[in-house]
Amino acid sequence: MAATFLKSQFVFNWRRNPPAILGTLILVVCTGLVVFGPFLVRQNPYDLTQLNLMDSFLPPAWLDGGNPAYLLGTDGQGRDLVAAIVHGARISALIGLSAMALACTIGTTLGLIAGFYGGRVDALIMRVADVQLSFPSMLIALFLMSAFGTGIDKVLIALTAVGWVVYARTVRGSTLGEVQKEYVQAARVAGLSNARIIVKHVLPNVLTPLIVIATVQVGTFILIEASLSFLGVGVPITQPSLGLLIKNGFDVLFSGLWWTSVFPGLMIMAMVFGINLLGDFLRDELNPRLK
Amino acid sequence: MSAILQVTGLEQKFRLSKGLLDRVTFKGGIPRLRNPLVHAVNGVSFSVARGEVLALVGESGCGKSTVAKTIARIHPPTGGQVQVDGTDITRLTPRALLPVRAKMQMIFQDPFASLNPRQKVRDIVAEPLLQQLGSGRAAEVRERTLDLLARVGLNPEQAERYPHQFSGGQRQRIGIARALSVNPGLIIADEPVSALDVSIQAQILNLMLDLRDEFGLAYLFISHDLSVVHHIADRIGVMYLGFLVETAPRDQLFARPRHPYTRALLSAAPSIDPKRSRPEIELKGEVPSALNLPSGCGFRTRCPLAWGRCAAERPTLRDLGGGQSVACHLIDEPERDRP
Amino acid sequence: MTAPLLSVRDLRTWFHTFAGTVKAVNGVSFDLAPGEVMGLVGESGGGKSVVGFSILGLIDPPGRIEGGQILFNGEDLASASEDRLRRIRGREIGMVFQDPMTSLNPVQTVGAQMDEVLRLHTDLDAAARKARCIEMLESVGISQAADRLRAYPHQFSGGMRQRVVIAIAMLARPRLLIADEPTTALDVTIQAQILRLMRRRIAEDGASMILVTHDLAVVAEMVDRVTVLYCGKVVESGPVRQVIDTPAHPYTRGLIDSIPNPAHRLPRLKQIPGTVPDVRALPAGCAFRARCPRAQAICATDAPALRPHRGEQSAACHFPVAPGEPA
Repeated sequence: MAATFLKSQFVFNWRRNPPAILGTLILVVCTGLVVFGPFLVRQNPYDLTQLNLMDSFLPPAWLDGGNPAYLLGTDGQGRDLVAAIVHGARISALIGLSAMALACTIGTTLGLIAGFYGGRVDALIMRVADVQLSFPSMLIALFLMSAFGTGIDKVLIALTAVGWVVYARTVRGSTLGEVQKEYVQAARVAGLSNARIIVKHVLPNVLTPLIVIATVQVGTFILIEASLSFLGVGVPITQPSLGLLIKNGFDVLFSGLWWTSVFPGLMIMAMVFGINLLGDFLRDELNPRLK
Repeated sequence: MSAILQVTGLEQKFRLSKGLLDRVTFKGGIPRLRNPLVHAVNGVSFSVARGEVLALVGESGCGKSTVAKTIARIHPPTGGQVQVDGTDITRLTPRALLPVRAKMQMIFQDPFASLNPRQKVRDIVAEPLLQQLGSGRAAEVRERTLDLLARVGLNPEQAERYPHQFSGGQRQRIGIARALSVNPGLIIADEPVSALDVSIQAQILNLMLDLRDEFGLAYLFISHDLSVVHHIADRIGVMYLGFLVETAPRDQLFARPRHPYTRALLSAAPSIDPKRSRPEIELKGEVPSALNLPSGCGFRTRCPLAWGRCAAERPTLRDLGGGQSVACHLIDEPERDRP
Repeated sequence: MTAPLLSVRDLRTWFHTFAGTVKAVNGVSFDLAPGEVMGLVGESGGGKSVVGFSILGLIDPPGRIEGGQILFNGEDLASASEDRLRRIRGREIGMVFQDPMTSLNPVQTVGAQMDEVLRLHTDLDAAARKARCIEMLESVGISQAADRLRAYPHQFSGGMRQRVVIAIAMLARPRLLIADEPTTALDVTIQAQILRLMRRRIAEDGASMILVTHDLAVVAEMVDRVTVLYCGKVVESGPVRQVIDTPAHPYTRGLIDSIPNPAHRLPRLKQIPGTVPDVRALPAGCAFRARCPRAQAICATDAPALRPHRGEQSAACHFPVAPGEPA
């Protein structure tokens, strides 16, 4: 199985696509940092007993006054920025991935129902989706967050509410195409119930385009969450994501203490850039129309 | 009652567009709702005896595939009655249909679209039988699946593969094995060979005829190809614009076609045989839209012999004896029947 | 004998795909005389469409003409520049494809598309061009041609669209028309109309035609000469009646026998066993041998060359079928 994958056209094309390789490399490094990073840094940035206010606002190690123990410097509470970024990236990535999973599940289910049954159910679901799409997603997320208050669970709800539409629309479109195909009619003639036809026959055949959407959406969600946190309506201070780190640093940015804000920002940029590079490659690979 | 399939006055109308806005037209400045209906099948009656092959022929849009799919209850009919082995299935719920599915199965046209690309061949073939027996008898189903694949000319190793690893002809064999799995008495075959190369087409037609003798199958065989139909059918029905215009035993239809459309169809089909005598009947124009059926006879707009009565009165299918029935006013006025 | 209008010599068109090289056309040669109608037949994978596309210079990567010559009026199209080919297409060689929608621009009126062809390929002024368009549409059986010039392709039915495509293909009075399955998507009664029309147009203009099709019955009624392809090679060619009545190659024989013939119905059709081999890994020797009832040891080692068989008929087979001999 693994051997056939390595010999497949997918891998063949990947090896001839430098942006895709770069994207994959960035993501592998980011994933490594997010998964293993917290075990590698000496400090737990949220354990106040490990912080020393004497070390606050130390610049990166290579600048004057820098401390080699704090490679990227420290913030106002004397937190090691490397440790803070590693932990923050973990929260950002977790939020992005879980929100994507939620949005994908809900959107796919609604899209399947809309496309398979058509009629009024379809009209209802798609009109809700249309209304949703007519507002900028940031606005909806902001509105929901100010209504619910901060918290990771609230961020997840807001992101899911913003993100399900794209799955619903895509899945509905593919479903409309699939139910016309004769294998679905054959399943009817075999005597399968509608629910089984949807799960066994339609669902596996509408999933491929979702891979691209899901990949790119993780990036988008990381950005939206960062923006919400930056605006102070995202995650609570006790669980700072990258966005909150940027916000904390932003308050002192113009005092020349740029590192507290810039390094978390670079981390977000790297993650989203890697995701988008890979997403572009997947889009070209998995889009049957380009073949 | 020897008919395995009895179809009476079958009608199928589709609504063209569902949205309210699509249906608004402006006539003289006043908005009106119109309700465009596609009259796909307009009162078709026929029966198929046990072990018989009835072929429905006609050009695209004549409703032959819709008849097949309506009988297979892929779409419920909007009118008329379908009896399978004496049971009226017209109003049965999907659950109540399940026993009927064991008597009637279907073979599809497109060897690529008719198999789920994400299912193994073994699971594709087993699906109808699994529905009948329930997953409790999976081992039995598995064994029968391998027997069926062997019967249609595929080996057990191929059961573990996916459809894309097969050629068009092999895929059609898989579709036939799937239809056979529940041991049905009737198989509806919707253009089963039209997507295949001629040499493969011959293999599949031979297989279908062998299976008919072996299992005592009846076929409702849908096709646009008259030479294929001549080879496989015992009886032939000709459809035009959702109407059945003529039915007759095979040899009689080819030797003495009565309906002008049947004659035109026979004369238009190209042949490799130069000796075939062909009274050239050239049809002008194209098939009218099923959205707006012509008054009277559906064929009159292209019929070289049409006269006033054809526009005023819709001809009904009338028995001429010898198993031949025709829906044409020329039966009453044979003196008009010379171009 | 007059000099051929088109002479294809040892044409090889290959497709380099991830899964291997597909030798879609692998050493095809034939001549086409002025005014002659030739059928290019075979099943899917035979390479018949690729021959047509190669002549038109429409082979896109990963496909490439690897070798051979396509001499059109003595000029080698296989090595001609894209610019030159563009000038030849439409003016000297017309084309008709299976799906008329692929050759018509959906957002331009039929008149505009016809006018463009004439502007590119002739020196006629606007009024003369319009007159020619109307005349052409009428000649393919489209009534009220002046009004129909203002219509868009989707306003025509399938059969009418194919008529428009034929009209466009014949506009500049090309000397060669390449028609790739022109009636496969159409119903038999419409097919009969279109075939009759094409035969008439070709005869009136004195043009030649290559009819690419899988349908031997269409070939039997339309062409003068037929060339049968199997796995990228010519297996048989000759006058159409002679080939159909007394095929020399076992493949041609098998193809003809597998068509159900209402005049002599047999309880079972004769079938060619097996399937077309994988074109990426063709066996050595004759590509048909695994399905051939006459195959012997030599067929596995030596690929048979196309040799004269009887009169103008030639076949690429070590053991060709003699007339009257059972296969």
